[in-house]
Parts: sequence; structure tokens; C-alpha cells
Amino acid sequence: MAEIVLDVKNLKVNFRNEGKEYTVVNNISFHIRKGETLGLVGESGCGKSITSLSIMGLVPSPPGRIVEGEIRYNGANLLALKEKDWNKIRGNEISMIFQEPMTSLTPVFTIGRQLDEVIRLHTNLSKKQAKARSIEMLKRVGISRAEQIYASYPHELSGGMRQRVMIAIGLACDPGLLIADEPTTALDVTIQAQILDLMKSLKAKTQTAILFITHDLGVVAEMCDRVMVMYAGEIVEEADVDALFHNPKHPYTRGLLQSIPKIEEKRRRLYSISGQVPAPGSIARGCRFRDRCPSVMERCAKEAPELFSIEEKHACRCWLHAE
Amino acid sequence: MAKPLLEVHNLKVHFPVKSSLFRRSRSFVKAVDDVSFEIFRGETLGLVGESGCGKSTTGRAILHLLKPTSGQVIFAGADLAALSGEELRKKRKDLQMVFQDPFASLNPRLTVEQILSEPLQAHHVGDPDERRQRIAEIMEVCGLSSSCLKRYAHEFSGGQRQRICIARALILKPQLIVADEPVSALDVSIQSQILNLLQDLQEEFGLTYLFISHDLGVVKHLCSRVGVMYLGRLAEIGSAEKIYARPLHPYTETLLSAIPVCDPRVKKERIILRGDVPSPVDPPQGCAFVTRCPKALDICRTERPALQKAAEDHYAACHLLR
Amino acid sequence: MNQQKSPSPFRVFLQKFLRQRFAVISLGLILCIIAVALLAPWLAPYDPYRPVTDQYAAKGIEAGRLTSASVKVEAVMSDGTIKRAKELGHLTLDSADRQIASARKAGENVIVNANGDGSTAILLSAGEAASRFKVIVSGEDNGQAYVSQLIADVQQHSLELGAEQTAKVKAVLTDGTELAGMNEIAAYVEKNAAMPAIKPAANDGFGNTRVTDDSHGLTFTSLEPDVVQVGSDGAIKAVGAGETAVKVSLDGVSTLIPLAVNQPLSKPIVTRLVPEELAIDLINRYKHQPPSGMHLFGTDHQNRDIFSRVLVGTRETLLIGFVSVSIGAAIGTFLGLLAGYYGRWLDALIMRCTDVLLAFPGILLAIAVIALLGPGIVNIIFAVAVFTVPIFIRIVRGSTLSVKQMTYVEAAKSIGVKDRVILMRHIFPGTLSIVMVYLTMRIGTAILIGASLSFLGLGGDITAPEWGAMLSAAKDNSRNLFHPTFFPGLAIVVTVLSFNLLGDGLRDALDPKLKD
Repeated sequence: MAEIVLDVKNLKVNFRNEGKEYTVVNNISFHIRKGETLGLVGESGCGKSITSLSIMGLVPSPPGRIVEGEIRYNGANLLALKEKDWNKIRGNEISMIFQEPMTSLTPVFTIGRQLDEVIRLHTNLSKKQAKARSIEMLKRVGISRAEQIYASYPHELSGGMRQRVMIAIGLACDPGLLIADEPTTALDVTIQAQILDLMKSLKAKTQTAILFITHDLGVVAEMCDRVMVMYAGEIVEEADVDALFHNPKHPYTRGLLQSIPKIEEKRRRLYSISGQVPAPGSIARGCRFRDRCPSVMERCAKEAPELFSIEEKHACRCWLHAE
Repeated sequence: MAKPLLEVHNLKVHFPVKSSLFRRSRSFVKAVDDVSFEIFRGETLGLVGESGCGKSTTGRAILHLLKPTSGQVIFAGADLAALSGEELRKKRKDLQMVFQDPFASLNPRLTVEQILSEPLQAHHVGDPDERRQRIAEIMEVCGLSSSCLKRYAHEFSGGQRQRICIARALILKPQLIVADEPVSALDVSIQSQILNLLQDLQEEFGLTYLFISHDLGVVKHLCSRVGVMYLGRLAEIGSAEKIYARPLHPYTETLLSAIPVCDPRVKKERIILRGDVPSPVDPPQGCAFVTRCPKALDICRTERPALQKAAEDHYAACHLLR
Repeated sequence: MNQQKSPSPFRVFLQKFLRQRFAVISLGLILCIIAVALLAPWLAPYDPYRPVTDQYAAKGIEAGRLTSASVKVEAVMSDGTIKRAKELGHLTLDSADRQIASARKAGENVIVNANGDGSTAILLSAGEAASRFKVIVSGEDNGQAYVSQLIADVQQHSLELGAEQTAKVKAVLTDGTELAGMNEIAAYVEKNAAMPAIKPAANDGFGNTRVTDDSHGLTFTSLEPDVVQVGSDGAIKAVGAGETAVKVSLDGVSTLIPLAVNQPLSKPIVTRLVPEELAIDLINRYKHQPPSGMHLFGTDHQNRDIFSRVLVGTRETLLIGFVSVSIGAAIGTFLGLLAGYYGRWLDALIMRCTDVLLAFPGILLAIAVIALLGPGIVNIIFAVAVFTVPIFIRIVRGSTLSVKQMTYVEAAKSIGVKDRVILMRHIFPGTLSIVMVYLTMRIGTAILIGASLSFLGLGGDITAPEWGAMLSAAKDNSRNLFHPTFFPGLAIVVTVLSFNLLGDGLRDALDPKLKD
């Protein structure tokens, strides 16, 4: 089996709001291997973005802080890094692409300048060499008029183009891990198709490990090898993509899959999960999903379930599937 | 056949692009470029398309929140453009809208009670007691508890706010509701709640919807008829079942194939379009889709296709139909 | 689900505001200033319009005693008797610096009045005898000891022809030291040779200017050289019959030694004048009194209590600040809402007018308005309001434009709410926050402009206790002093700063992004 690139153990992140501290990421652990794409699925407020920011060391520090846990990249503990060491990691070993292509690129510099900046920051290439590499990257992400785009400004490009540029910047230094935080959510569906296609082909070529964060289960089915489902700061299910879609165990996962209106099926009333996501800190004991769970039991209110391993590579945080 | 509740004839909404201070505008953003359709009482017409296709503009033009550049909007027999300002204002009682962003469409300084009584006050419906009752009724129907009345909008989640918006739209018992991407900003688990609510309300009150969305799955679930828009024009319109089963327009085909399927075992054969959406300023002569269409003919570059009937309740604007 | 009653937006804002310490302190200060303005007539210890000298009696303060002093002057006659000043008909008084102190005869004594701060000396002369005493006003002692009196004596006043003797001279200085003998006197003279002890009295007008022969050094002069001759060392020689005197002088002070040759002394002459005090301390209480227990901020050039004036001036200042800005804000908000909401020609019209008004620097516009309407506080209010209006039009219009884009405004339109109601219910409250912030900050500017206008003399009554006018008067009349300028200036600074800090705090509290 390929080696483990990213290993997260017992990560816990707290946020301070109006004097009180809330736990937004509660004790999650996972790993990603080389060449693997791990999907992180969840709805808004589940903590998936904070997880990715923690890996990059970008958690905004006055309100948030990493309380405990270990994040190891190729063995090195990232949480022990000082700020100046982070500069060698970000963009070089671990890259991130964001949701909003409109605001992720600096509007006052050309595309080429922004690409070159990343390359020259982490390699010893000269200006000319960096430019050549930038243009090569732009071609690799499917931009045919690479020289023209090299000289353009972000506002001159469409959303899809910008996201391609973001991917180019992310992959420019051949990182070991790429974190994609909802990269296609803001795009039209046809453009999304293009970008997903591109990412699949790049994945095949580069063997970069990808942490793919999204709320769209359809995208997960296409892109990911393994999936983790997060709810209210915890991982509630973890499985291979096939197992997750065809054999979901956790009531939340099942509810999600059922609530998506599918084109192939005939119209009837949609399944919906009752209630809403609990506010951080509002559930002190027991399972966090219990207020919305159709299969809730007495035990769920008293004790919080752990992540139980059901089969090999399939775990679920639910008393229904305890040993 | 009964007369349609809403008739849209050759609707155009063009925004001038100011080129210089004194010269009159030469170029226009053709947000809606000759769109016609009908909605009958009790049905749901879905309007789908990607960003920039003009569906939201169409919705606003129908409500006359934007002034159409040309074309007619006839609602319940009355031409809206012919009405005076005050008459139009009164007509709005029957034409309501639910907006996309539940966070921005509620005034953060008003309580729920104030938000819901505003429509009643604007149209002088009933006395304060009656109003209170109607508010209570509508809140129950929309799944909001009465404890919400004195609270402010910012305290509610996205789904609850959208319920408040729907309640606000419904409280006047309108005939037509234009819903502009009402669930796009919501989480998946909440989306289904709101969609179910919309369905229930339609059955209970006999409402008519114009449902605007970019999400084809949602539209198929809710709508009996669907219109597909591209670059301000209608590419295809007709019964939802027929269109989804057998799309005629190449764009519709592409759109349907682009949707990711929630099944990793299905390896979809996807039609990937080349290039980007052209700018709505000075769109291509001829068919708007010609720059990206995988099946483009020569005639597509020069002549704009008209909406043709392909089957019962199935129309498409494509030269390939011939 | 949150069960407690939700905080209204106002309460949230209040909580945020209370966390800004500076703003809360400023608010407290402003409330104090407003309280002062309201209660000023009762808080002011003195009447701000009249000099305090008139008011001392009513308050039971005996201030006159310290502003002037009466000094008894006696004359020592040659026969040993002591005469009082009254009996000396020809006693003259000279002040070396009338701006510091002046003296006049009054009945028994000499009255010395303080006019300004500093040190000077009064020279008393009767005949050829002269003495001096030092006057120190307001403690400004220049540290010098002048010669006060000379005491000279000989062994015999009646001489034979051809007899010789030496006069013994003693000098008394104003600080009480005695110089005995010529040597000590010579040493003193040398020490002070560098600087002239007393500057010569110029522009005297009245008194005789006694030009001393030799400003430095002890001089001996015989009044009749035929009878007696005297040398510079004090040696006296009788050369002829008769009666005369030898005048010994030093630095303007002189004493007489009566001498008679071949005959006894007949009539007594004044040999020496003795003032009761060698040096007196006075306090200048006729104007520019420095800050003290009686007058917290001192008095100005017309001897009016500055503290009272500052207190009473608060009222006018705040009036200008509040009223003008309120009027300006009200008109500006109304026009700004209209311009922003309706747009097109109404917007263009209002904005062009605003541009014209804003093209002028604020104070020039205000001066132009005053020039048109005439000076006076009402016109100042109007002038400041005029140049506040365009500022509010601009910001309210901008705020309206952005609120107009909000979806909830579109939603209100789609419901069929009337325009008027949309403006009042949805748009105006959205602009209210920025209006409040600007209002408090403009009050500071309005106060400054109002003070500037009255500083320039456009405020009408220049004797009115308005801070700007006080500064102007201080500039003209009290240039070297700090207290007439400092305290009104401080009042302006504190008030404007408080308003600005309050505005800052309000703005921060209204910023939705500011958490704790």
C-alpha cells in the first residue's frame, strides 16, 4: 500500500465567541495515502473547512485555536512548526484551492505574476525558467491560449478559467498534498464538469494526494476514492466510496443520500431529515445527531458513541453499529 | 382550454452599456432576448439555466421589478406594462416573489411579526386582529412556531429564514409565486424540507409557481413543465418528463449529462463543452449556442432558430429538429 | 433552540459600544460638558461679563490690600528730628518702570500700585536727598538688591576754615544688607558695574528726571564749592565761610551732610529719606491674574474671571455645535434619501448643487454666509448648518444607494409597499447608523468652525464669553501669558476630542464585523 502522506490524530479545534469557547472540530482522526483522494463531506457548520485550515496552519488565531492533536505530513508534525517554516510547506508541499475563484486571485497582478511568485518562492528557478514553467502549468490545466492568459488580469477571466488557474497555482510546485475546499461549488454545472474532468486527469498523472472537501455528494461519487462524512464537528462515517453510496450505515449519511432529488427516479415526496444542525456547544452529552435521528434509542442521549469499525475500512459513529 | 394565468410574449430586457459620456449606447447586454411562454393556473413551470442565462432577469421582468425593454407580460388578463404605478402596486398582491438569499431578503432590524405584517399593511388587509390571526395561520402552515414572532431574522438558520420568506410571500394569498432559486443557498438536508413545504403549499392552496433554478434535479422533482434558457433565449421548453427523458436541444443534453450522479459505479459518458459561455453583450448572430455546440451546422451561425414544436408540449429552438 | 428573548439590534449595539472604553469615557465627558452648559449660570463663581475687581467687595474679599501698599516715608533732618512725608511739601516720587508699579502721595503715606508683573524701584526725593525702595509685583523678583539709602556722617558739622575731615559713608541695600565703608561700597559697585542697576526712567512726563552725574560709583559733590570742597574719596576741606552741604550719591540715592564753616548750622535740612520698607511685595490684581485659589483659571486682560467665562461659554459653544449640525443633518438626510432612492434627474440636480457647495472650503463658505447675513450667533449657526448640509447629502445618498441594492428592499417593492414607506421603514434606518456617527463627528468640526468664526470677529459680540472670542482677545491682549489662551483652548480641544472619540466609538460599535 502506498505510504501515508497526511496523518491527523485526535484533532480538536475550539472557537471563541462572545466570551465562550466552543469546540468546532472534536477529536477527528484520519489519514491520506499517496495518490489517494479522500472526500470530506458535510453541510455548512460541520467543521470541514476548519479541518482543512488547521492542516494548512491557517486557523485564525484570536477566535480559534488548536487545542490538541497531531497533524503529521510525511512524518513531520505540522503543529510544531513556526511561522517561517510554514512558508516552506505552504504552496510547496501542501497546496490549497479555495471555493471562490473570484476572490482568491489578487486583482492587481497578472496571472503570470501570481504563478511565477509561487514557483520562484519555492524553487531556485530564474525568471525565465519560472515563466516557462508557468506557461507549461497553464497548458496542463487545459488553457489553450496559455501565453495570452499569462498576461491577463483575473477580472478578464471567467469563473471556470480562474479556477483552472487556481489549480495550476496549486499544482505548480508538485505538492504532496492538495486540499481542495469546495472547488466547484461556485461554478456552473457545465463548467463544474470540465473542472472535475481536469482534476481527474491530473490526479492520474501526478499521484498527488487530494483532500476533497464538498457538500455535493454527486461530486464525491465521481472524484473520491474514500469518503468521510462529518457532522457537527465529528466524523460520523468513513468508508470507501462504493461502500458509502451502496451501503451507508449512519442515519445521517442515509438521510443525506435520500434527500437528494434524483433525476432517474419518479417524482414523489422527498425524504428530509427533520430539525437542523445543533448550535456549537448546545449538546453536552450523548450523540450529536440524536435530535434528528429516525432510529434514535435511549442510549443515544446518555452516551456519545465512538467511531466503531464495522468492516475493514468502514467505520461508523452510531450505537446501532456498536460491536 | 382555460386561459393561461401568465402569458409572456417576446420579452426582451436589454441593459445599455455606456460607452462614453455623450455618445448613445451602441452595445447592450441582452440579458433576456425574446422569450415567450405561458403558465397555466395550478402548474409549476421550472426555468433552468446556468449563471448569466437570464432566468433571474426574466423572473424580475415578469414582476416588473425591472422594466422590460419590449414585450408583453399579461397576468390574469391584464397587461402589466399598461398599468399605472399605483395600479401596478395593487396588482402585486397577486404576484409574489421568493428570493434566493434568505439572509439578505429579510430586513435585519425587523422582527418576524413586523416582516409578516408588512404585506398586510401595504395592501390594507383587515384590522389588527385579523392580521394577527392570518400571521399565526401562515406561520403554522410554514412550520414556524409562534415563539418566533418577536425575534429578529438574524437569529434563524437559513432554512427557517426561507420559511419566513415563503410565509411572507404567501400571506397575501397570491395567485402566482415566482421563486428565484429559493433553495440554492441551503444545505441539502434543509433543501428537501423546503421543497416539500413548497409542494405541500401548492397542493393546499392551489398555487402556481414559476420556479427558477440551476439545479436540474430539484426542478425535475417539483415542476411539471420546464424551460431551459441559454444566453437570454429559450433553448427548449415543454413537459418535464419528456425533456428529461429525451432532450432535443444539444445544450439540454449537455446540461443533463454534466450533473454528477450519486453512484460511483455509474461511469457517465459526459459531454464536455469546449470553451466558456460567450458574453451577453453582442451575442453571436444566429444560434447563441453555436460557439460551443458539438453538433453545430453552418446554418446555425447565420440564422437564429425559432422555437418549434417537436411533440405535444415539447418545443425546442434548434436547426437540428428539421 | 434559544429560549430567551432575543436582544434587539439596539441592545447588541449598546453592548458593543460599552466595550469601547475611550468612547464611553468621552460620552461621560460630553454629558458633563452638557451638564456644565445647562448649569453654568449657577456654577460660575464670578460674573463673566464684568471685571472681578467690582465683585470682590460683594464676595467679601479684601484684595485691594495686596494690590497696593502704603509706605510711610520719614525724613531725617540735620538736627536729628524726624519729619513725616506730609510735611515735606516737595517730595517727588519716581518709578523706574511705571508699567510694573507706580507711586503717589496720599495723605500720610506713599501709595504704591502694582500695574504689571516684575521688579522695579521707587525713588523718593526731596530736595537733594533721595532714597529708594524696591517693589516686587507678583513675586517676580529679579534678584537684584538696589541701593536703598546712604547714611553719611562727619565728626563735626561746624568747621574752622581750612579744617579737613573724611566722611564716613554707609549704604543700605534693599535686601537689608549694609555696606559699611568705602571699600565695601566700591566692591558692590564693581560687582554691579556690568549691568546698569536701574534703567533710566524714560517717558516720565511728570516727575523730574534726575540725571545722575555718574550712575556707577560713589560721588561726592559740594553744593557750594566756595565754602567746602570735597574729593572723590570723601575728604572734606573747608575753604570759605558759609553754610552748605555735601551731597553723597550712589546710583541715584543721595544723602546730604550739612556743613558750616566759621559759623554754626542754622536751619535744619533734610539729610535722608527713610522709607518704612526697603522692599515691598505686591500682587497685580488689576488684570491677568495668574491661576490661583481665588481664580482657578486666572483672569484675562480685563480682569474677568476666565473660569466663569469658560463655563458660561460652554452654552454658546454647544448650542452652535448641536443646533447647526442637527439642522444640517436633517436637511441633508432628507435630500440624500431622495437623491439616492429616486435617482435620475432629481439625483443629478441635488448632487450638482452639493458639488458646488462642497467645492468651497468649509470655513470660507461659512464666512461668505456671515458676510451675507451679518455677524451674530444665530447667523453662525446658520452658516455652519449650510456647510454641513452637503456633507450629509453625500453620505446619506451613498448609504441609500447601497441599502437600495439590498434584497429586502427589492422584496418590499415586490410586495407592493409604497415608496414612502420603503424609505422610512427600510432605507432610513439603514442610513441611521452612519448618520449618527457623522453627526457626532461633525459636532466637533462645527464647534471648531464656530470658534474660528468668533475668533475672526464674526461672532457679533466680541466681549461675549465664547471660547473662540476669548482666544481672539487673548491673542490681542495677553500675548505673553499662557493662562488666557490655554484654558479656552483646552476647553475647545477637550470638547471636540470627546465628540470625535464618541463618533469613533459609535462607528466601531455599529460595525457588524466587530466582535469582542
